[in-house]
Amino acid sequence: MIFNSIEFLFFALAFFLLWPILKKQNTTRWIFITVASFLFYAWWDWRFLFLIVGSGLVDYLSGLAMTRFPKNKKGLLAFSLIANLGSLSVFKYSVFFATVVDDVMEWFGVTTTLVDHIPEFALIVPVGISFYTFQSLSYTIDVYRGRLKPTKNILHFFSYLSMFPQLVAGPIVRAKDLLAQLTRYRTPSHFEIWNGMKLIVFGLFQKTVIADNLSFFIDAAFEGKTPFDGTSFWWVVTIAFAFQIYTDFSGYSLIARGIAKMMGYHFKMNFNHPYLATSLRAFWSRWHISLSTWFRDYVYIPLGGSRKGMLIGFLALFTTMFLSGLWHGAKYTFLMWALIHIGFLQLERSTKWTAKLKGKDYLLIPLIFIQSCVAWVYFRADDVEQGHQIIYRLFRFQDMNVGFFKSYFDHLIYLVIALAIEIMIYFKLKRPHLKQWYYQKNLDVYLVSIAIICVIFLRGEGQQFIYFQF
Amino acid sequence: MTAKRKITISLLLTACLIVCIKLFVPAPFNNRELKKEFWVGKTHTPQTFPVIAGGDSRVYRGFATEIFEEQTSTRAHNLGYSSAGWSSEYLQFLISKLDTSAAEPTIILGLSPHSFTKRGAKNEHYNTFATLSDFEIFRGTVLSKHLKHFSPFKPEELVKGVFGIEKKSTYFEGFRSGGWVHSHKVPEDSTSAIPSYQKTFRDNHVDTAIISNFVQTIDKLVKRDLRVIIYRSPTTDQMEAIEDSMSGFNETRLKAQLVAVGAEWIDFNNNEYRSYDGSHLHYEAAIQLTEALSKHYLRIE
Repeated sequence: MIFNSIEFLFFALAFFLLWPILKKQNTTRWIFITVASFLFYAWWDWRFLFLIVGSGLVDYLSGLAMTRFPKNKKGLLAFSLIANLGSLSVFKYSVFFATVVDDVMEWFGVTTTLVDHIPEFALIVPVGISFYTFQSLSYTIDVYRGRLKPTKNILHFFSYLSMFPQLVAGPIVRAKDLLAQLTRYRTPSHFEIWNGMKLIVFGLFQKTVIADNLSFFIDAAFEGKTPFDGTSFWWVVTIAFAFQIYTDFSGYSLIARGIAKMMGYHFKMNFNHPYLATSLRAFWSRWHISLSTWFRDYVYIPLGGSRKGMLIGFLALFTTMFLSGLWHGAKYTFLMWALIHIGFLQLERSTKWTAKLKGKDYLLIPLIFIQSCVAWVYFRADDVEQGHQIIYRLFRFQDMNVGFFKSYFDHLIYLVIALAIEIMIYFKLKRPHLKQWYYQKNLDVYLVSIAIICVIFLRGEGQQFIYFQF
Repeated sequence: MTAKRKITISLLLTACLIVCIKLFVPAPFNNRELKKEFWVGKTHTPQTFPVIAGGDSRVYRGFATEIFEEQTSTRAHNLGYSSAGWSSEYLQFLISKLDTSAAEPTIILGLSPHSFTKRGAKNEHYNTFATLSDFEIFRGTVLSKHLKHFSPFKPEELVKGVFGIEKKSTYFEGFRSGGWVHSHKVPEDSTSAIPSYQKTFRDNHVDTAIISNFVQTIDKLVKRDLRVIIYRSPTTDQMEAIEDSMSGFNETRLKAQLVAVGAEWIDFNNNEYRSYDGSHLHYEAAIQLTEALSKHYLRIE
């Protein structure tokens, strides 16, 4: 069930009709959230439920056992890590690891066919497995570190783990942020409902109007279904994909936050206009914030972070980004994407070139954007070879013809709109009087109406959210 | 302004804007909901038919079901899909829609070189509809009738519609009940599809395994006493030359194999049929082609 579907509309209507009645008592509230969320998740495939229940039980019981048997904390944490990462490896990485082994063996002249011997059940990747596994893991790690008191109520735990707005594509909500919120009920104020409504409408706008309308053009290019092949064409494709993945994912996060707000809960921001970043480091503090901070807190800092010298810093960065690439999927293309980011981040760190240009946003913003675009090529490419070919086309500077704009006007107009919106947001953020004027004139009221109209009459073909596959 | 007031005003404003759009903006030229209803309905029809037509877009645009029914007084269904290829699943799907208790159950297949490639056999378009959940089928067949009032616009037609600008180039498609898409383009350009086909065949060639599976399936169908009529979908000579030279398609050999297993092969002359883009037939040519197929079906020489 995806947010931009009729099924979800019926589901949400039923949920919010019953919510005011069932939210008052802890037990009924938790049961209702858990049952509704399981129904939401089972809509894809009911068999996926076994995995989330299994993963949740491991962490719920590990958390309880850690307080009861503090001497065995390390062992319990290891058990939780092995169980969670093990199931993630089986379902998400078995094909990749088998391919790597086959490729390495072939290198030595031995032909193996491990990839053909993977059990059929392991070939299906349950929707959102990386999201809820990481969310569940953060619970155990925080309990282990003594930063969180484990909940004794299994319903409380599962209402946190499975809460449908963020279940399949984040934001990855930390237990310490949400468990406490779930112990009370509150009726959202009109102000919160208005903010929730804005988040949902703007999220739907990003997803259905921008991302879905761009997808046809991008898919046609990557699948070779278009006669265009020049440098200017591939730059436009790359920029369009940068905006497609941003608006697709950010749109989902906004809708998730909006629904949570309507329920009376608060999820932290997951995107903060990453393409307006003036350094790649800043980009990563604005892009998929819940995952970036997860890796920062549980991988990067424990590995030494940036304060223990250049070498340790590089190794911490390399490991974190490499794992981040692998988190997205079991493909060489995601590792290439991560390697490009590692290269650019290390360059930025060692030369401090962005600091030297501080204040020159008109240079920094496009340069950082171009870096992220180059990496996105591999993220979207079917394989590394295709990624190389596109990079070659981007930088050979041949065929700067823009005739394809006419053929794809109905799609590329949305790229122009997305760019224009980001530019306006830049000025709104930089000029306080514009922001003041925006609120004084209540422009948000008109923008919400216009956005709803666009969602109804300009929506693209309904597509799955890209991040569901992760 | 209070938040409560903001919510009320924005909802009222939205309602007013919807009314204005419905009153003053011309309806979208291609209603996406109707299109969805067409494809979902065509794929998930509970009925079976004495005559089934299968193939790619040259078939769903080129086989005019209603003309066939009119000429032969036999119910038929067009199950062509974009870039369809002869995978076992797709062939099984065609057979599943055939009424085998009819007097002369017949499958009419329109071939193109692309339908024998691995990319064709992926059947992406067909699978989009074949794999729908029950709710999505309900949405496509029942809810679409109501949702058609909220079908989205294409920006270009919206701008031109609002400002009354006449379109220089228009693609006309009519979605007919028997699975036929009645199409033409103004202005016509009998070479416009060539570049994309050249690109497609650069790294996508006819697959011998798909050909042999196709021939074996036809053999089995004929042995089950089903009538199988096969033709190469007419297009332009230029397109056919490109397809033959780039895809590795050998029509003569395939024809011989199919005739040997008992299929009926019909040859068409490209020059007798008008294509609006160098690949697909103009609806008038589609009618003409269907009339020829109807005559063959009725065994009228």
